[in-house]
Amino acid sequence: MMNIIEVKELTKVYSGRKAVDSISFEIKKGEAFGLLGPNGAGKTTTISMLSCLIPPTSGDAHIEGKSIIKEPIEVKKRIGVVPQDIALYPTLSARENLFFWGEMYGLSGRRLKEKVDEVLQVVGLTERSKDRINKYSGGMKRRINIAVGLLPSPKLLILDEPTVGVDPQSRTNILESLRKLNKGGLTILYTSHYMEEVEFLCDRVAVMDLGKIIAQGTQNELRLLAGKMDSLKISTIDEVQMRLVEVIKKVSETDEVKIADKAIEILTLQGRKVLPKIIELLGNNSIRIKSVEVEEPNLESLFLHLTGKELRD
Amino acid sequence: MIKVFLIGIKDVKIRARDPSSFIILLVMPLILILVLGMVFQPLWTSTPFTIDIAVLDEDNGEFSKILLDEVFGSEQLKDMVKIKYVESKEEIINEVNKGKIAAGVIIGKEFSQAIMTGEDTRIKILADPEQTIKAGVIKNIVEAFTLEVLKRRIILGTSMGILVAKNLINPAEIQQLIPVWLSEIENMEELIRMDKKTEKRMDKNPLAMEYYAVGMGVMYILFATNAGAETIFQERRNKTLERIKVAPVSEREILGGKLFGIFLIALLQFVMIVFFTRIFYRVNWGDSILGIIIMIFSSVLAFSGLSTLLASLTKSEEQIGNIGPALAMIFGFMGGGMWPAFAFPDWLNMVSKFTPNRWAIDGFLKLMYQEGGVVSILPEVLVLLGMATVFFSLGIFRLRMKGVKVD
Repeated sequence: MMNIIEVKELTKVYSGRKAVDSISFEIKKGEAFGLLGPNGAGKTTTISMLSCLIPPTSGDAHIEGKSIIKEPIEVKKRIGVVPQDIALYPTLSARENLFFWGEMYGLSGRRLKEKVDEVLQVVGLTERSKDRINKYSGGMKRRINIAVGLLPSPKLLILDEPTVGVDPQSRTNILESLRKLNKGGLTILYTSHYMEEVEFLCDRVAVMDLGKIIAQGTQNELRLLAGKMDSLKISTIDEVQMRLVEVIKKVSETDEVKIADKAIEILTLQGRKVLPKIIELLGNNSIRIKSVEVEEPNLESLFLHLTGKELRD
Repeated sequence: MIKVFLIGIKDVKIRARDPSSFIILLVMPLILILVLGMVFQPLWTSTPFTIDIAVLDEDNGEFSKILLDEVFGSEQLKDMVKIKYVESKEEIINEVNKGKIAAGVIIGKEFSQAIMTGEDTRIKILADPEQTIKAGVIKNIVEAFTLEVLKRRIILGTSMGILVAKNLINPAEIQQLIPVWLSEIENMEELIRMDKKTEKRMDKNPLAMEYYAVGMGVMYILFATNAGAETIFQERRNKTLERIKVAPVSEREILGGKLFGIFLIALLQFVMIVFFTRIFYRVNWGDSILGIIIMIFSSVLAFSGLSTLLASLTKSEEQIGNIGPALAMIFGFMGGGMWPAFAFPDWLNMVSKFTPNRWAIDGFLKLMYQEGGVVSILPEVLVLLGMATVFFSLGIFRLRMKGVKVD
């Protein structure tokens, strides 16, 4: 699969301080790529450079082969950007805002109207489109903020912490909409300091701290980096015979299996993969299950492992 | 290029949605024009329009006669300027203090002789501070007269010197030539330019409402352009400037759009004031539609440039919100928005010429009260466009230096 974006040694220095320090990564077409890191990690500066809002101090990035330094207008035509702040005109209606922003992206006439209707439908605000933005709730404003980013039918949608300050329900709506768009083929670059959002949405993740990418890969690859195993805790109604220990070890591809009366605890590298097999095994041995608990090492624990500090510090 | 228009039109739409803008930019000036027009109407006109003056002629020479008989006594001025001859300066002061005369004219002893011999001399004018407009008319007439006399004296002196030096004329014959020269002065039409202007005003029954429609209308252009300039900072505050910058829009288009917005807001506001005052206050803005259009455009351009410069020099919406109205008021007063510039003291008259208000007001008044149409306003239009060029150049340079910056 071809790369839609290639970032090479991108650096931004402010007053002698490196806000972004020689980062490199690629995003494949149709991928959802997450930039995860705490506040001040350099995510927004990276996004600002990729959006051609600020020039890099050194390095370059190419979006569909177009350099952010040499061909900024061409790059801008290929991306949709959803900034961290709600960047809308409060006294204009949602529809008026979308029309204006569509025109800024060169849309006009019927095409513009169709596109506005389409993005309103995507964010679920068709009914309220004639209301002024200053009458909207925070979540609704966020949704229109995202809709603007979708207007130009971008090859790459860049979202910079788009759910900041949003209630949980709106956040879920936004993330589900984004996942749907991604499944439909839209490439997404998503920044957040919310580990759950990145885990929910992104195929691959780059973890940033102090301007540098400290780790990147698929979620599984990163979990492995954390050096921790999944923990499966199964409570049963019936007693588990000790004779099953060896079978469970074999199925779980691990030696870390403990059985005590009506409980089994397994430490494995692939908890989700082995769980159905364990359940089937217990069923075949007439052991009824009371509850199952899976604990996986997450990006939070990865970040802690790599930096020695919490993601939300 | 189309994005320049789209950004400008969007700014107008946003401004139009703001009720406070509607009140400040449209309702306020219309109320001020109405109030000032009604309050000051008695000072501007009476029927018939006359100016009472007292004259102390201590000279009784050729030149004082020309001023009194041929200038004040001309066909155009004799019905307007009512002269009372007095015997002393105290009498003039007394008349002025009682408000019976708008001005007193004192022609000193040997005024004519001093002119003939090339010595310094002067005509003193004592004005009633409560009748400054009428006193200003008299001052202008006397100034025009003395200027013309001075000019003639220099020409005659130089010519005579050459003729005598080349032995082409006997010095004794000079005295005989002077009456010929004087008769030529009497016929000089430009001497009484002021009375012609006044005569046209009289025909049209001038109204304070007309003056303040121009003065306040022009002053409020700067309020409107400042409101437009504020949108540059509002875009920053709303983070929409960042968003425009990440769209495929060039810096030039963004800046052009913002400046077009400033211009468009002020243009619409001023056009509405012109229409409203024409229809509801019966203000006659003149017969030359083209002249009015040119004046509106050049005035709005000059003020748009000024506000652009102001935006480039300020750092926040609050700063421009505080400085802008103060500047508009100062320029409004200094430029003749509250009081006609011809009634200003000389220094203020000179200073007022550095404000776009002065040139805009002069241009509109010419269209209202003088013949000549577009041609007559060319100096004002050129100065306003010159100011616009300077203000825009400086403002754009500074804004580009700041990169229409995103914080």
